[in-house]
Amino acid sequence: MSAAVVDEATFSVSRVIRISASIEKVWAAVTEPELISSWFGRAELTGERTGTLTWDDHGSFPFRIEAVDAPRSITYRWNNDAASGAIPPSIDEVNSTVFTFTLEADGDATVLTVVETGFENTTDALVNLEDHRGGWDFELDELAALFA
Amino acid sequence: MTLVDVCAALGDDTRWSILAALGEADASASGLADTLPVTRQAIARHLSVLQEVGLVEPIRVGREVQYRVVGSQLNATARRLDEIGAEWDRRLGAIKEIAESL
Repeated sequence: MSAAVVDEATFSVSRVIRISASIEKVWAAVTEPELISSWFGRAELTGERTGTLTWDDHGSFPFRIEAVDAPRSITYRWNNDAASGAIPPSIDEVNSTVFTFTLEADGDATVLTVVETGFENTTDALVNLEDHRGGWDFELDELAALFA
Repeated sequence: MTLVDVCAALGDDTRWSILAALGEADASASGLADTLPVTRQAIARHLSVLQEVGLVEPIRVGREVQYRVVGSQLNATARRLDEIGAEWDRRLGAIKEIAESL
């Protein structure tokens, strides 16, 4: 698995993993609700491209499929803004984030990349910032390491 | 001031270069103009944008005004992104197990 990647310009998070399975199997794992339910929240479709991801102790978070290019990539938008204290009944783009899975066959294996963007829209990061606004923090070594 | 403002301030190559340079050492606008391929006037404008969102602060050193990076803004955001990244690490690990057992 690759190291953490933080893109300072877009505030995105990305990860890459190599899976010893065909691209079709990995595609199933990231697109079929019953399989998604076993690595994510309980996935239920409410429309052709919309649905909810449910955690019994957190609530039902709406998602929407934004783009599909089977079996190479799929993009989901979802509302998971814990700090806002409210979960919208359907996708609210204002504080949503977007994650895209990209699949690439590599011999018998598949390289799976996930990129999540849009954190500048969430109140969660905002709350963190507000929390820390009062105090100056001079951890420049850490800063340089994170954003080098 | 919101995170969107901070992100907008960061979404510029020159301002990012200025932040990186200030991460090495505090510097004045003139000092930055010596090391970056940008005029002192342009640097001053960029510094003012960064200062407005709290990413840098001016400090008086003798007769010179130097600028210092305020790390808390970026650190708070970076910590949150790190947490989200760790969540994806766990999820991708689970996807791997599922796909490999199909």
